[in-house]
Amino acid sequence: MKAVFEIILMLGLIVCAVAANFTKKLLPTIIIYAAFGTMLSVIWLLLNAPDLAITEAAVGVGIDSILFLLALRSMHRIDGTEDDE
Amino acid sequence: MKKPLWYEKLEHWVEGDGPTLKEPAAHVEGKSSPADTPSAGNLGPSLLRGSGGSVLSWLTRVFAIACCLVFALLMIATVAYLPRFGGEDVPAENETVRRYIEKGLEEVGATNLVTNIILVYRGFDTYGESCVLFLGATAVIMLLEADSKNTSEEDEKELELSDMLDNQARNQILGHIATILMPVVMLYGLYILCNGHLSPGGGFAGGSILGGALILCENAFGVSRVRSFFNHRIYHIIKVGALILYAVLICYTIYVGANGLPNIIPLGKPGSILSAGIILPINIAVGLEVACTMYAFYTYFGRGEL
Amino acid sequence: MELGELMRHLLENRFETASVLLFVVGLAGMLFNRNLFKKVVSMGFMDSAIFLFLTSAGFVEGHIAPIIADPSVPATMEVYSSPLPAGLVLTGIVVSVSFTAFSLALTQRLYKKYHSLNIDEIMMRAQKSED
Repeated sequence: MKAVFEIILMLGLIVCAVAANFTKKLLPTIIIYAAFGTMLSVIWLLLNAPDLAITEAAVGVGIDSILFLLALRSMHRIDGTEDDE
Repeated sequence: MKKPLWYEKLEHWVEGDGPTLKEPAAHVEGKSSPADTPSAGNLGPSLLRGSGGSVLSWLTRVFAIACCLVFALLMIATVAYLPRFGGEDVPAENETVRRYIEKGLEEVGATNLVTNIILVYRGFDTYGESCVLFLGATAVIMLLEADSKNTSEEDEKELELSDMLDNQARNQILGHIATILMPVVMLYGLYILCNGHLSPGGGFAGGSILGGALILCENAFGVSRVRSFFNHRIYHIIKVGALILYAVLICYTIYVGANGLPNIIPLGKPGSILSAGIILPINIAVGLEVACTMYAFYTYFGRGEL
Repeated sequence: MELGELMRHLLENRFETASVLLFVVGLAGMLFNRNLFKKVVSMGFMDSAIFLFLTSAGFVEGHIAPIIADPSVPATMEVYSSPLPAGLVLTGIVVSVSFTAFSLALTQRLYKKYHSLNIDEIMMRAQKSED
């Protein structure tokens, strides 16, 4: 049962990695990366490493996604937000 | 080339295509809209799509894809010879790990065995990692510092406009929620930081959460509010001071260990907060440094100054 | 090794297989994508693949996570999973974030100078400005 759960999570990881290459706009890439980080955080728990789960959830998902979004915004690549002001 | 139906449906699902937004107007001539790069109108990495028509480019494409496939097959064939996953003879269970697990609590005093290893037994590696973080922050500051030579008129106008809107309390929802959430987030970050030696957590996760609280404060209340308690000088003092404190503690440990002197810092009762010798000060130093680094990344990407 | 035994071994070592596949997908994405931003994201995937491989080398079936719940009971290696790979990967995650931040800063400066995220265009404009 645990093996099936692990295999589903890892298939999810590989699908995320493949899907991130095939997006036209750049904002879905960041969202797919955040989903990847969340699934990876659950896998760390399954591998008996709770320190890594907390660190990956805080740093890999939180900080990395913020960095990517900021970089996108400064390069004016987020669609639809350019006519706010 | 006509794409098959299932592929088009997969495309639409990945893109989340709904009713299309109107095309964003380019700011100035020279700033590119998304449609002017060659890869914008097509799906997928360009080598798979095909760009040229000649035999040589086709051959290069096929050769590159074949190389990647051969690499993948070689690596999978290597996995076939690895020891069984989860068995008793797994590579990371040897006499070194036996020493770390069995003698860890009485030699170091922390109940979290991973913190034992990364802060005392292999503490020098973690110090190197803190230095890499410091180096990364310095490099980002060097690249993105906004001075008169690399800021254009439009960037300055944009920044002024966004500051003016912040002062007019544009963020009503965010402001109210942040007033409730910020103390909770900081408390949570401090909890994970100080409990690094008793439960999962440690300096890096706790420091990131503290940095996240600072980012929330800057987003909700504007940059002038954050500058009232966290400006350039305080940032430098905290960052450099934390690294120096860490260096002093590591030097003390190495000196005492190499010369066989007795350790004068008490280990305390295992399971309480004030235990495990130097681990709590090191965690606090690392956490402060990581929080400063994360906030510096945020502001330098956003506006070019702290 | 015959095919059935090979497939069973790969299924049993599922974390290592997944990590290898993830690494190859990340590497292919980094090589074939023309967009600089996607190259940085693919580098993040490659990093995570290596961490998955390292951590799966420390997992023992039936053992628990390496945190001592009761300090009065002496700890033995037969009860806990190995804590050593977790320490290595913790360092790795932080280095990966530093690297991502630095690459994004470089990308932002390149964009400000050449107004494009496509690496072919950047090379063309750089060579043109050199002449």
